[in-house]
Amino acid sequence: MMPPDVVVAPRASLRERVAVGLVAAGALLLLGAAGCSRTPAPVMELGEDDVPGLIEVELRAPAQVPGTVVDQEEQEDDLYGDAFSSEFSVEIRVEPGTEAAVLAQLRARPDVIWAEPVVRYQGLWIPDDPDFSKQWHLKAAGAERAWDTTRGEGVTVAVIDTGIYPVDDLDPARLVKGWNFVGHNDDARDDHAHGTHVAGTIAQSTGNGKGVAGMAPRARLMPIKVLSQFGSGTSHDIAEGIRWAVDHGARVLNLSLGGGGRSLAMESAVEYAHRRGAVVVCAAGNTGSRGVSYPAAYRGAFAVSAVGPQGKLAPYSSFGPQIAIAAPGGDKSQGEEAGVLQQTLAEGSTSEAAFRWFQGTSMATPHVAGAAALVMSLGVTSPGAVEDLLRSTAKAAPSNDPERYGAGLLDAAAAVRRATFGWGLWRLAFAILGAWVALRHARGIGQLRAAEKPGALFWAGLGVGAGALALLAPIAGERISALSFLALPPAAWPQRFLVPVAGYIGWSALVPFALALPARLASRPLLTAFGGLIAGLAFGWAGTLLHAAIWRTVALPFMPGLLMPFWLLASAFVAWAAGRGLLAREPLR
Amino acid sequence: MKVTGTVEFVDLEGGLYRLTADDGKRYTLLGSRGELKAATGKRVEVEGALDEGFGIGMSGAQLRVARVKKI
Repeated sequence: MMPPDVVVAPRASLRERVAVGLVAAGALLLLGAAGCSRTPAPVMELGEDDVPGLIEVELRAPAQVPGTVVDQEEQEDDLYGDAFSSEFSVEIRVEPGTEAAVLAQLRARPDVIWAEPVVRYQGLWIPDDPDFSKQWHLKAAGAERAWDTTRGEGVTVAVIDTGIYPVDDLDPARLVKGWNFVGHNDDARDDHAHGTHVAGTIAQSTGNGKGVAGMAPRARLMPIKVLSQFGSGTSHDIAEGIRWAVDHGARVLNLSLGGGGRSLAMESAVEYAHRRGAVVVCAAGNTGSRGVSYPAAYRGAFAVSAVGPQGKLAPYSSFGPQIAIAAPGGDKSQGEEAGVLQQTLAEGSTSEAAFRWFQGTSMATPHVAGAAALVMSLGVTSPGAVEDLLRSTAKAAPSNDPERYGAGLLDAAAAVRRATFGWGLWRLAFAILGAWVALRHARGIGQLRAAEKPGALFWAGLGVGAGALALLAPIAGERISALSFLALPPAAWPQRFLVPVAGYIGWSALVPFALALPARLASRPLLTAFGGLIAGLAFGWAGTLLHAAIWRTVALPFMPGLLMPFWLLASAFVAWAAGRGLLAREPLR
Repeated sequence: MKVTGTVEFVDLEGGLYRLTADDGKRYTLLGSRGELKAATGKRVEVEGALDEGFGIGMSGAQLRVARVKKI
């Protein structure tokens, strides 16, 4: 006999809740997708969000346009493998204040499909660095579309190279203490130009109204000088540099160097770094032939080949079975501006800065290192997961040739999107599934009546615990720096914002268990007020831990990699049990 | 060792100097950029030592230059 207060069947009630949750997630997804959108409405008029002096025009055929063309790649060629369009899109720069007149003139032309101001559109952040438009390579690597979600905050990238000179377009606050293994002192300033250029690609000051941009502008740079003023060094110094960088907190290592000789010391150092939770990104080499140089060819290294503006392998790039991914390294056989543009030391100077186009697999490597920093700043701390993410989201290469392109062409934005959107939805799905099982069980054994439904706070807690706020990250994450934590699930916050060992607080059941215990001891009503919030949070946390166990996204200090999934699975179960314990009518006595 | 050949500038990694020896072998030269720049395009005799180490060139053998003599 059903009790009289049962008006809705338990399963139907839950289905309704699940449907509401999925609809909400879908809405968030759509909102986020809108945040990522780069296609402005054709009837857009001048407004406050316009970028001064910039207009976008869609032509029926190539034609003369007023002002200066600043973004012509879609018109000129099929940049980086994008599908060819029969339309011709051009971004032009005009004198600020004349936009309205130029727009009217363009719209009156029969060969213009549409013309409109370029706006800071729902999140797409356009840095104001004056020569950013010349950095085709950053756009090709997907940096621009990733910056609304993350800019690499909290991740240290070691540049193991000729050092880094503190040029004026590098933020001194982003430079951390390094070491000079050539001079055996702490002065790791560059005396060549190579290391400074590489560092610029990773984290040039961006949005500072000066010079150019970098892939992960809020990452920290650690200069490790292992190459002399001539750009050469020993396997011993490089191996020592790798170990020093990892031991001092670097989580991404950029090695834009190589040689043909196999060194056990360096091989062991690369394995050590990887085991300690660092992504070791290495240049494939510049022989233009088959045969990847060392250290890129070592196990544990992430080998990068170089492509030019059209996404084709650069003529100088080495290739071979160890190649993991391809990234823009420049191809100056197509002209000077087909190189990679960053600030570095002027030729022959040890103090004067200059903006230079370089090419080489050394230039491709920091694009990948920067992308790895972006992903790691989202709480993905396992180097294997970062590498898998970069590989699995790579764009299709011009030909299916893994020896030349590895998994394909680097797409940092796609990697960031998957780490937030894609994984956020999985975490949410796991959390909802866990809550459904727990509610069904509690009702099945009579601890809850069907009419006792989870309240809004329960679902809010579940969403927060599962990191569903990450779905909002592309809209708000980096527009307001203080909200950058939104892009990570709460389980990742201690490791990301405190110290690595604090990861044990988040990547365990500690928080949900500690919150659930007093809530379980409290009096009714549990499911609709504070207890409901905590129960939801526990299920969300469990979903996050389960996702991390399956996707193996997390590495913790002192925890062997093989044990990590078991730790996370056990923690997920405890977190789930903490939530399940709150689904009872009577308080625990 | 002494190697004779021609020095060329290679626009890789910000600029490298390479010696193409008379026997066809190629060496990335490690030395004073000013001295190597002055020798670019010329036949020279380079005295130096093979460097088995690592570097930014990543394009073959490296020769640490002690002296460059135009011939």
